Amino acid sequence: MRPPWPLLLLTLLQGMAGGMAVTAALLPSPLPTAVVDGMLGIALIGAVASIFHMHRLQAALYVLRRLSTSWLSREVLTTGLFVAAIAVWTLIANIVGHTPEVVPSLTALLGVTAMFVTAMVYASIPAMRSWHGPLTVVAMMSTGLVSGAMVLDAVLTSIRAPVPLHTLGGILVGSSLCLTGFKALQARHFRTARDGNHAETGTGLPFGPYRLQDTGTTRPPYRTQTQVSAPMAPATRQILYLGQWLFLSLIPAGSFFWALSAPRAALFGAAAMVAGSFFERWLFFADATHSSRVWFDDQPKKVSRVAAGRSST
Amino acid sequence: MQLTIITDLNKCVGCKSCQVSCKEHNTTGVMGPVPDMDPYRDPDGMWWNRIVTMESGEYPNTSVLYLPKACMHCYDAPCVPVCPTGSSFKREDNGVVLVDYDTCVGCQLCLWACPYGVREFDENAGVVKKCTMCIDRIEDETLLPEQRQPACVQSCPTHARTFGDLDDPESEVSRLVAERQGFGLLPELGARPAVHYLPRRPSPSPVVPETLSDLLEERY
Repeated sequence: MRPPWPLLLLTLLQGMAGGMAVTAALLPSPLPTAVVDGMLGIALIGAVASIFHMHRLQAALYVLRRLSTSWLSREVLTTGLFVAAIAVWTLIANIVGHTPEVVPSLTALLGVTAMFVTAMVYASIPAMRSWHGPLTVVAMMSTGLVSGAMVLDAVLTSIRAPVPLHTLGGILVGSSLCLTGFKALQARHFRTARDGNHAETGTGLPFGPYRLQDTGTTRPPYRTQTQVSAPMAPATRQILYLGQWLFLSLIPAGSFFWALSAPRAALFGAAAMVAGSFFERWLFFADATHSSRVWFDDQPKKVSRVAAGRSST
Repeated sequence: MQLTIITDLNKCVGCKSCQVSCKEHNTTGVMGPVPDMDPYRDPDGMWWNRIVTMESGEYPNTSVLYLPKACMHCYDAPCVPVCPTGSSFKREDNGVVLVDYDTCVGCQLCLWACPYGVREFDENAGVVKKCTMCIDRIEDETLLPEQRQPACVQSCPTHARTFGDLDDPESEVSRLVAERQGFGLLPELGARPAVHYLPRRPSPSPVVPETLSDLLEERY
């Protein structure tokens, strides 16, 4: 599908702010006020970006109508509460100075809730075969938590805060490796979704291969439908997934070990992590398979794995 | 009551009169919700009903299918519960899935939730639009009863499309689905589409390359 930039920014920055809030709640000492301000900035940019995805703002007053069924409705509520909590935290830090412990904890809780609900918006759509399932939630939340923690670590290291987070380096590197594993599983799930989208049940014709002769108008995919785009070339896909792995896992993990001797390297690792997260989220949208693709593409005939003497797994 | 359209895939010849009549009916008259800003230069504008032409199989055992594809007005329409504003809704009295343009925020999540890719986004109005099953016609009491049916059904030259109530076991559409083993598209996604298709009749025995020349000699 075509990656919608407002959603890409919203999911990424909301996750990053959530990861920062969770990490901050785990720290023994309070965050410097400037860092809390920065966290609010990140969350606000994400929230403002999401507004650009709506095309009729005058109807926005109805978006909480379907809290009982719509994850998007719940996302508006939970993300709003999360941004409001960071705003309250910022106000207390700037005006009062001393922040009660309950504020970071509550903000972290709201952050995790918002991240979960946002991930469920995508994981709960059966027609989006690549996204449908718990892996989307796990991978999206992990990306947010790890990227937020790494960014906070880099910021605290660069301003020489009293409790630099890289003392928790083992945990961060471990989380990063877990994220790599989740992303590998998700890549496999994307491939299964791509290969498992058959035209048999979409046409009622039992024998492949299926060749699309006419989509009903002249040019597929349709301009007004964002869920389907031209398929990615396999070589391009491989390069993009390799780049994602490099920026999301290898460089951040390597720079973390480097930061043990040269603390400034944490900034380099965090920058790579942010770039990797953008990469990851862009691929999440661009490589997703929608069920309606069966009416947009030719489908090659698949040879029998049994006849070809290959493993069935 | 669940209104539906049944398409006999044996009768459909892919003439696209249903596609054109849908566009014609829904761009004119009082409602005119289908935008057609540049119809002569931009043919990939909004269409609520598209005829997909698909070829399957390998020579000489090939088959061509014309598949009219519009909103399936699903029993468990996945586009309805995902809508945050409630603008997508399924009418309780006749089962037709509709969009309230006044409350649609244009987030397009329903486009992704629809397994059939039949919803379209109107970039000018900023709202999502789709087949209404010509609700303005079927509820128009000034029309004669036989004319109260969707434009695509009325215009079909081969009478491949039948309109009726799928929940009524005595109706023509129920009888056709029951007797001819009507099927819905992508049943594995669990949307339970109301729109059904009557399957192609079995094709003749497959022809294999080894016997092709014998068969040709026999026939001609």
